[in-house]
Amino acid sequence: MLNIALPKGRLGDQVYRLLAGAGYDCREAFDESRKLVFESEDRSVRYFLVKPSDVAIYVEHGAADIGIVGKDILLESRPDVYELMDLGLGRCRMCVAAKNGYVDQRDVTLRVATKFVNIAKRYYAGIGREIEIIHLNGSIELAPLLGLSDVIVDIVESGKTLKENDLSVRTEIFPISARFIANKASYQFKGAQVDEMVGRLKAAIEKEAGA
Amino acid sequence: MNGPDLTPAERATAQLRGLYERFGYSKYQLGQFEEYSLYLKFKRFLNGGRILSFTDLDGRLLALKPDVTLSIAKNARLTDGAEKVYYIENVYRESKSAGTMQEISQMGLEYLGGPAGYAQAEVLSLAERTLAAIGPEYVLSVSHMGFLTGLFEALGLEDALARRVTDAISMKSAHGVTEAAREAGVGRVGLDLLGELTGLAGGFADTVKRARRLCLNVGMTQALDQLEETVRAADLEDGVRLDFTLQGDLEYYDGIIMAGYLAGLPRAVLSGGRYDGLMKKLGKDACAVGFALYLDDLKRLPRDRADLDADTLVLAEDDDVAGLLACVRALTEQGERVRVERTKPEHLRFGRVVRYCEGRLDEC
Repeated sequence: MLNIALPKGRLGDQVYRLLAGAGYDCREAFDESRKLVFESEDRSVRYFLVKPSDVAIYVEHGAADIGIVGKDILLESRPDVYELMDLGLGRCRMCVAAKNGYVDQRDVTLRVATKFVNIAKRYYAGIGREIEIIHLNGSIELAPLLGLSDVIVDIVESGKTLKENDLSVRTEIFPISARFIANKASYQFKGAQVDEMVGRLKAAIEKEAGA
Repeated sequence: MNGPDLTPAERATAQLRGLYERFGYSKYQLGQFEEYSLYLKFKRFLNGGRILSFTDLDGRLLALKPDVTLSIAKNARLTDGAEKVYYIENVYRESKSAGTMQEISQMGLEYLGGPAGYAQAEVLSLAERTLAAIGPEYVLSVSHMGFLTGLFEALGLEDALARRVTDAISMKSAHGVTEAAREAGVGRVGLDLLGELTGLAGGFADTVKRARRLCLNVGMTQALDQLEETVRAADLEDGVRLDFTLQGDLEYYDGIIMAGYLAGLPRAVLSGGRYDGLMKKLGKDACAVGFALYLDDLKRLPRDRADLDADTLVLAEDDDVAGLLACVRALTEQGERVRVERTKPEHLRFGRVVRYCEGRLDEC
């Protein structure tokens, strides 16, 4: 039995559809029910729906054998897991954004509002800039508008939210996409099953891209 | 008669001490503290992480030891033959998930200054027997650092760049390896080779065969030869997996490395390898190989009688202390775990409940 942690929301639905198409479907209706656990004994899979930022935690601690998680979360929390595949889904970018017209003053400590504290710290340490981190849990775009911060470090998908709030991307830090991760210990015992799933998933994604 | 309800960690410790001693390892007792400067100098061997330090009364900066191997290697006197030691110690390290310092119990052994080929085979064989003593279902994975260093040499990958590539390799991330190697300016052939390396794991004989096709220089070939020789000598060709994503720090580890897993536990419980590189940095030219077993994780394995707090609960209903004690003693001599109370505790679980009254026990 493979335990799979899926992120709740659009990405999780998308990945489930791909897996179901590749032979890992659950008879229980995935979309209609409000249940958090789905199991199919004949397919030997059990799905959990968890908060996207928690997927890596479930996998690292062995509650799930495998999971689907954004690269942003892997880079923020650096869990000790295998990253077996780049699914190429849920593409977006980790960016530094600021209010239109903002001029960076290099002699002042930069105030950075973000959900991704470690990523922001590492990025600015890498370019030798002194910063003050303002850790927020949501509506990051609000921070520069209210003068809470100079810039934000956040995920940008289409850039629409930024535009609506009179903000724009200043620097792209790295691209993001969904990754297929596995617990290192359980892979030692279930490696063959996991590899087979990776192979079938890869084929399903290629087929979809080709269609 | 039932023995004491030992945890898997306690049972393993007792059993393994006997095993290690039969192979000539003697118990090593360390002091709790060590000079802080030692850990500062070998920070990378400890994988970074914070260390609990304090100033002693005489002004020296000391640390609660975060590691045992380093102290043993530093103190080893190899003038008169090899040093074979085992230890059961607590170390203090930073817990990344809890954001606090953590006490970790370790058991392990080190073979310093022995004949290299034999020492590697003996330690590998003992690592396998260590896992077998604890769990019925286990996996021992091995690799050889020389294979990776040889490959990096052939590709001209230097320190910092090599580290990014090894990070991606240890995550089995073929796409990550390609990305890091491309940025490091590795050519097409190298990219293909590195990409293949992430998938290079499986049964020993088969994986060695696949790895042979990737060899670019003598270093890589020699690493495979040595690994094959060691595994064959330990008679473990069917008992270990070969996994080239397994790795230690390139600066310290330079021979066989190993990791052991038990079914049901989320992390490797055993890790070790050959660290001549560390010895060299300590000014000792000797072969050194060993492993550590993480005892705390073993506590999560299922226990035999963990579901009951005691086999028998005796409810004492009169004040005949001597008679009551005699009854309890008789029960314990039959191997039962007994608890005496006035009334039944709500939150505890017992196999059966009896009442002591007028010199005898009655079932409730």
